[in-house]
Amino acid sequence: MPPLPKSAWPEPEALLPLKSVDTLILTMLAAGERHGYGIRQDILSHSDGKIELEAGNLYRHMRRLESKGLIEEAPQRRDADADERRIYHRLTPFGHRVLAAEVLRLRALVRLAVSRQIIAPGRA
Amino acid sequence: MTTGPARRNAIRFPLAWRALVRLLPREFLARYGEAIGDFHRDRLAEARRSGESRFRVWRRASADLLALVVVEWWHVLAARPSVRTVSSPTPRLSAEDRMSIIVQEAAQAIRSLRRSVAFTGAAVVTLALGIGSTTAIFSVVRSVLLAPLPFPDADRIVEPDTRKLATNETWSVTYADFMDWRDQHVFAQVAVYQPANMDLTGPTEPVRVSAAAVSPQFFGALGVRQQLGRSLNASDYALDAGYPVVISDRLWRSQFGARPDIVGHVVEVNAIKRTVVGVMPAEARWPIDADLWVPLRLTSELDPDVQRRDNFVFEAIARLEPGASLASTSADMATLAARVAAEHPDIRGGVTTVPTPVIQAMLGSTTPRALWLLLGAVTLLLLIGCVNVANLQLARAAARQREIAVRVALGASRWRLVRQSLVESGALGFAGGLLGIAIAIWLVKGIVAIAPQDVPRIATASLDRWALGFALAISLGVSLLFGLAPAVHAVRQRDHLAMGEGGARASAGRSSARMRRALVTVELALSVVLLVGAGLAVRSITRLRRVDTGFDRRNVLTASISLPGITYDKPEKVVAFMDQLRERLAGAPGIQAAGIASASPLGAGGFYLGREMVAEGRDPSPANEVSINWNVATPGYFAALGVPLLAGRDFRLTDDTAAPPVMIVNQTFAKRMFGAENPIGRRAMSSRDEKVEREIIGVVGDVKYFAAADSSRALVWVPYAQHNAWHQGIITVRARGGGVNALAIVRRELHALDPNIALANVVTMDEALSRSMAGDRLVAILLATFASLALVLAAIGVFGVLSYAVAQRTREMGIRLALGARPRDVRRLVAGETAPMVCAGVVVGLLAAFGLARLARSLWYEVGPDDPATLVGVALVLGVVAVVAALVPARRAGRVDPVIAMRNE
Repeated sequence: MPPLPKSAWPEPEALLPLKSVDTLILTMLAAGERHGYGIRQDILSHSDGKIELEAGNLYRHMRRLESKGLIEEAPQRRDADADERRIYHRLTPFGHRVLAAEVLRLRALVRLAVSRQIIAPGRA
Repeated sequence: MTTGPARRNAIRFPLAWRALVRLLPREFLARYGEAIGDFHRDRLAEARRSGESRFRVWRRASADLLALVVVEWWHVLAARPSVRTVSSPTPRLSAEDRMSIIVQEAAQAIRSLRRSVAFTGAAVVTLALGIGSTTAIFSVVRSVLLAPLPFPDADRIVEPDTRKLATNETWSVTYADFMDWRDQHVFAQVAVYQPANMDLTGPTEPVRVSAAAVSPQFFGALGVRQQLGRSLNASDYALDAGYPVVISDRLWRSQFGARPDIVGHVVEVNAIKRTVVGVMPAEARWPIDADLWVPLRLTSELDPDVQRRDNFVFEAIARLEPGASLASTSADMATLAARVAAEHPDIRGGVTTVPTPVIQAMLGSTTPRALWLLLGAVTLLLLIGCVNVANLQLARAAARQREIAVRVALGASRWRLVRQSLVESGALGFAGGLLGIAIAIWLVKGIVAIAPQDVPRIATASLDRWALGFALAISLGVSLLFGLAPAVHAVRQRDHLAMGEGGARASAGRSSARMRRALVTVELALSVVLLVGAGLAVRSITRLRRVDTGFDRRNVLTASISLPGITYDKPEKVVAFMDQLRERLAGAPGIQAAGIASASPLGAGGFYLGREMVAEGRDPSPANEVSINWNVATPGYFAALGVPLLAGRDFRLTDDTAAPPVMIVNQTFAKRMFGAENPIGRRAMSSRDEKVEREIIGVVGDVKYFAAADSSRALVWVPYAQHNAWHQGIITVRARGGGVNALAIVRRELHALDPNIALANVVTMDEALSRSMAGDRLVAILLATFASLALVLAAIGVFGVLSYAVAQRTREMGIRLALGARPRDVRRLVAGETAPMVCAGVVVGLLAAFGLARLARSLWYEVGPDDPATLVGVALVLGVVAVVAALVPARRAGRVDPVIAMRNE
């Protein structure tokens, strides 16, 4: 599905709240271009091995993200030490904005949780 | 993120995996297929490095892939693309849209049908008649032939029979054979029984009830448990074990008011006081509809009489061993029978034993054949109805050509046109089915009312869910069938139009006319078959009615009695009773003649023995034997029955034990034993049992013994008084004229002699003849009804086709008339159109009728399928009908106004 033209992009807030898996994927992609397996490894290490995404699961969400214009395919490049060419994805500018909006929402939620003493205040 | 120096193509995924991947939707696969492949390669490499179990990897990956296939396809199908892509000109429809279209079309069809009331009415009524009749006959067939008996695993219950190989006749069985089966474990359970009639005496009139003396495994073989008390058990069979009796549910309710303390109650049966030990449930009316069951007691199984191999006087019932088949049991029985035949070739040569499935045994061969015949006939009627409705639809479609043309111009596809036609047909079929069910209910009641009562299970025929399901199925089936014709026509029309052929209307009209003519020919052919069948059945019945039964049926009443063995324990008492009763009856005012015999003609009941007789002086070998039916009679019997005495004299009171043994024979016997010689004074004996030479003192005319359609049998009568004092007899009285209440007289005299004896099977000889023909009569009535309906439908078909043809060719008619043709010529022209249809229909129909009638040959009495009267009659009838049907359209053609005709195009 080709992404929507820029003129048709909705406001970032309109897409909130994101699904938690989407948030994770976008966050990992914010660090730079990644290919599918790389995203899985990132999420795995971030969650201490608890969230283990398989291929179908991952690419299903990525399809949706792509159709909403949050991520796009990066130009193919060779891996440093291999012949292979892989498919890399990266965030779009719009995706950046949506991710930022989401994280801000989450921060506001965390603040509320702290004020209600659900958890102890952590280092900011 | 390193994966090592792995090359892309190093890992080949398994075939199943790749196949699964290819199941993904095309677009998704194109976009992400490669990425997924890479992912998995990395995954496997990682697993190898980290030591993760490969099984776990594949398991998770497969489940994940499966879920992906499902989710992606769901996404594809549920999506409403907001932009139409170029490849599909029309938007893809969701399931809801599709459903609403069908509903829309159905509503449209119904509206259109409601507008043409005449068409819809005619079609629905035609269908209803066909569907209703077929469903009704099916209900009867199901109830009588197909429904299982109400016992567990009823298809494993069989009736062992004796069969004579040469003639395929079936007889009852001997006790000795039964002992073989029992002791050799041929069956899981096997029992023998003897039907009997017993008189239940009590405070009121004695009542004759049917009873059965049964051997120990009888109820076990059936698999039926008593509802109260107990069944008969082993201890009841000892000779000193008292007199237990098990009664039926029906008797318990009718005679004992369903009293709860019936067990232990004492009843008097045939002058013996018996104790009721149990009550059977209502289902226990097969294989014998008895009200009392008593133990079958023999003096001893070692008794030579009991061990005889030619005493075929027991009925048997058995249940197959679990795991044994009918074929294997049949083989076992045949082996045992062969052994017996080898040991006793004179009495058992050429005789074997077979297991017959119990329903087949109950029904015989005539009833199933008659029922299948009726089902076939009614199917023909249904087909004719379908043809008619198809014709009606074609006519209507021809009239709606403009409408169809518009639809085609708007882009209707072939499938859409066909669908439209089918929806309309479906609506008609459904309506016809509903009305048909109502007709079927009524028809089944009618059939049950006039059916012969001795057809098992006919009384319970009704519209159950099987019949309803059947009605639904054939409604759908015929809808498809007759919906095809207009559908094909519409498609053809569309194709003509689509190809831009000018004159499409004309050619479509021509092809439709051809189709309609062909259909009418088929209709006529089917009608011919039905008519031939009906004609044959009716002629058969007429012949039966006129058959010479061999005696004078007028004013003859019969009633059967049975003398209880306890009271009439000596033959002299029996003879004295019979003689006294006869004398009192003969002397009563209003009675012309009276007598008593062991059996009544025309199947009106009684008991006879099948025996072999050999003339005196001849060697008692099978070559010299004549098979006869052995009867017992008092003096005066033949006069009472009205059988002509052709030679010699009747029995006299002096023909008793002191006098020489005598017998009276019928003409067939005399011919078979002595040819053209005078048999009077000659002697013969029953070669296998009585072995007493008896002198023939009289010859009587032949009588129809078992039914009106019976063939000639050799019959012999001996006096009660000469060592044949049977305890049962059929009182036969001839009244002086029709106004005499013979029954009252018989009751009075019987009661005067012994009030404890019941009368049963009271029937006049006219009624007996009627009853014996009841089955044929039913078949004839039904066939005639179906044939008449078929004729009407065929006439309508012819009428319709011609009317339409005339309407189409108005212009042509107008031109002819304008050019000087006389109205008569035009009329003849139109009427002449029927000729080819009728001829073709009659020829095809007669050929078919020939073929089918051969199958049903045995059902008709002395009337073969090539009965010329019937065939000529049918051809004539059809011709007349066709002419009459053609009259109106022909007249209309003649009255066409040439001016108007040519003006209107």
